[in-house]
Amino acid sequence: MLKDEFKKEDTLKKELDQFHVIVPEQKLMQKQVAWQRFIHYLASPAKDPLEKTTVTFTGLNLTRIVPLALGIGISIVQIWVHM
Amino acid sequence: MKRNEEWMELYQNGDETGFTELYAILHEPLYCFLYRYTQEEQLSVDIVHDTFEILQKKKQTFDPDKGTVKAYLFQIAYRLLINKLNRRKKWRSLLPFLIPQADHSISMDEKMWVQQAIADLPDKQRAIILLVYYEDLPQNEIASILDIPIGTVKSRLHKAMSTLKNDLKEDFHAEG
Repeated sequence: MLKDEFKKEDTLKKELDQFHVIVPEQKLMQKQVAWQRFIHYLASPAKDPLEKTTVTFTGLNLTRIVPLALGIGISIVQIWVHM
Repeated sequence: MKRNEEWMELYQNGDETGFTELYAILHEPLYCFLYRYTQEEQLSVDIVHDTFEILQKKKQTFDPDKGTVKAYLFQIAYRLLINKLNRRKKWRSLLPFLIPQADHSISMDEKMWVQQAIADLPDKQRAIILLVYYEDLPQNEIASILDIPIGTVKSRLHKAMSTLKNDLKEDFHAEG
């Protein structure tokens, strides 16, 4: 058997033996249909896509200022068009 | 006590007891293999369900002369797993913000060395270590599960063992 290759590897065997798995019998008894899996996927927390921007002070300010500046800009354009 | 192949034969002949018994015997080793590979509970549970569903649909394609029921089931599960992981990789490259947050319930310190070391192994080496050490499957069955030549099984096992041993050495040096 291939497992015999581990015979002389006591330290490695000791470490590998520590990886116990708890089998979630309850979950295994309940089959999730495709839409439930999709809902579960949608509900799982995702990484912040703007994390790189928001961790720096400048980035954080930019995410605040840019929408504000855009809003002001659009308002000015609308006022100018209606004049 | 009946062997898995005898339960499968019963099932192939229309006796549902065969399927119930096979599920009772094999769902645990299958889940353990999947969990050790992915370290994700829900994904492993889903694949166990899908694997037994495929077994129900394709029960007549099982041929006892080609291998054991366990190897047949693990082969189905491994293919499903690889397909799911590849699909996930594609989606994540297209929509990187869909990457779920890491589970912070287990800190890196609490996570055992072995879990991290297995997760860090290249995919192909990881599967070999799990099938050899935890499932104690023979070389020909592992080759059929992973769809690789028999000789490659041993060479990949040695590579995986040496990667783990090096990792272990580095870890002890770092601690010492």
